[in-house]
Amino acid sequence: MKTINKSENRATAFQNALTQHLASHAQHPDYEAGSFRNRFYKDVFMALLYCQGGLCAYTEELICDVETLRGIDWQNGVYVGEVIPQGRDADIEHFDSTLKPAQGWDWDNLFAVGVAVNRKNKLAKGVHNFFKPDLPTYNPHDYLAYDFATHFFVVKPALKQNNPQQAEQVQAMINVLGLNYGTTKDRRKRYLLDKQADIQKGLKTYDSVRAEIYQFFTAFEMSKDDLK
Amino acid sequence: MKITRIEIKDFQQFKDFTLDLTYPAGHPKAGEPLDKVCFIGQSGTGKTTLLNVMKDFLDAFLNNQISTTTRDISGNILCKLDFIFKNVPYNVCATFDGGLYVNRYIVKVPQKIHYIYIPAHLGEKVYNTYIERKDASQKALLDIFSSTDEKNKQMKKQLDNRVCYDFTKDSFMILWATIVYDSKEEIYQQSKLRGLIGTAYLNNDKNALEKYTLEFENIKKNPKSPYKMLKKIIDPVIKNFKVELSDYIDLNNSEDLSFIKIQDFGGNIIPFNSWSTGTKQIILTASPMIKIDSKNTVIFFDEPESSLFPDVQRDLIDYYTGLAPESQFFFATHSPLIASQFEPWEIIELKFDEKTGKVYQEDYVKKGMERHVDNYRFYPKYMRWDSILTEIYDLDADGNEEREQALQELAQASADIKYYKAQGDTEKVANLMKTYKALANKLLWKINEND
Repeated sequence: MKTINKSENRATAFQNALTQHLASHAQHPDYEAGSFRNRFYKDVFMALLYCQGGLCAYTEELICDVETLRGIDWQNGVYVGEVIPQGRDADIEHFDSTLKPAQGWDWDNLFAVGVAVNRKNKLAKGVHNFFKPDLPTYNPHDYLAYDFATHFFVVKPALKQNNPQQAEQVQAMINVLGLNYGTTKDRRKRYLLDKQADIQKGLKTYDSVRAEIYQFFTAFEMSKDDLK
Repeated sequence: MKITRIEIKDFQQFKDFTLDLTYPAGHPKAGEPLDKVCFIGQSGTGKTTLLNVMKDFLDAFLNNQISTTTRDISGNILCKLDFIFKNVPYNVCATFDGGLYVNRYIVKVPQKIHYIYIPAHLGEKVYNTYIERKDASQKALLDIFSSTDEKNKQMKKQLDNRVCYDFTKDSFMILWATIVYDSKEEIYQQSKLRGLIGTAYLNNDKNALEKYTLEFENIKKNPKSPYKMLKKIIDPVIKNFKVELSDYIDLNNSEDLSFIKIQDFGGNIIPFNSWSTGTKQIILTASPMIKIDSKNTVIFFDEPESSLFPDVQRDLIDYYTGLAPESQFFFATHSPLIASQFEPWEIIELKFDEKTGKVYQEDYVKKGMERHVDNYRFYPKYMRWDSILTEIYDLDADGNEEREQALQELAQASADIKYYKAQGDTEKVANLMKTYKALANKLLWKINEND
């Protein structure tokens, strides 16, 4: 799960409306229902996907047609294009679910993720904030390693040796964020094996494949020796 | 007769729901109706409802509940059904007003449409009526053999006119009655030959013995009666359960007439209340196939896997479709082994939309691509059983939680071994290898799909 830069929020109409709302209210508008949600859910969703390059924030699986993210379908901070991921493919997710009732529209706490991760795996489980993918200090290579035999993400062995307490927290986050979630793991494996075949059969070089991949970047980077 | 499309406007869990039931581009039969279809999906997604909707449509034709007008009722339409009969396309629509009401609006609707509807757990349903001995058809069957010729003719006519079997409401005994009735002549013939063989044997008449035995064996090898056909198609499957259909029916024995008899390989008759549920399932579901006009029949079959062990399930679809090769089959199943016997374009996976609660069809074609045989996300016939569970049935793991946990630990051990090996810590590596091997053995060394 690579680092995400969310500094550009294209949903400016949403951001302005939220600022206005907070000028006179202590809490955010209702996240689950109501006119604010009806008006801005789509904008926030597409703005998040824009920042995430169409990938699930956690598993790095492509959940949105990249063409949709060209950035031209915005007018006055409102998304006016077609929403390609349907509600059954992807959701907006609250990294820290305890903030959802009072600060449900906090841009910093929101990510676009695949529905399986959100609805079946993560739910309202607790999180460790250092593993939040948009933090400037977050770097997956500090915490994770990739086992090419099982296609599981694991705790980086050096971290396990040097900081066992944080290593345990990383392991907990691997589980909470569904990095090895069954079907996602299988799709990641197929994607990497397809790339490995291209490289090992001499059809492409590692670098040319690296330039063309559009998902599962972290696993690809961490599997360099196995792919070659 | 084959159905090519279903459209449901708003009915129960379906809203603006359309199914294309034709072969995709790139297939030799592109555009033609599918020969077989498999509905899968969570309980409550409407697999059985879809079978019922189609069956009710056909029922409406057969019962003449068809409007004589061609008025536009588009405002009230709940369902549309397209089908092809003798190369002519038909397009009919229906409203529901208490019962189903079908309004035809293109050409004359054909009347020679047949269907068979086999509900889930048919074996138990039949068993209950049989045990209670309340079945009028069973009594009528016994009457055929003890009544006047005129009455027999009437009964025969009644049985012959039956072109559809809906076992949600029809008695299985009606089917059994037609099988016995149509088998009567051959059974009499065999019975007569058996007597002649016995006499020839007693008289030591070798020529007669040879002649009658040959005739007897010929009938046995090339049966024409429905009962013998039944035996021929059912025995190969129920032999897995170490039973077979009885060789003979004694037309003078009311017990023999009352229902199908099976025996073990030693020839001992097994009473109906001792049949296994799997035996009931095969015998009762395969039996209707021998009584139909395969070409004009649509067969609706709910849960064909009921009570059957995996090794029997894995060949089941070929078995049934082989019995009625020109029919169109609609199966509804929860079994991955059944689903594995279909091409992706033959599977209709129903899913709930989390937000609306309505049902939609999961699209198996790769996003943004044409519905073409080469563009599907997966091809069940080529997949491992566990991949079918994870990819098609959306199970989120390839085993229990314990397996997932062991895999995670094994993956960690693998990464740690690499790390400590690079550091030259041989003792650590040796310990980790023990952990790795212990876990791998527990996992039968089936660490991923390639193993």
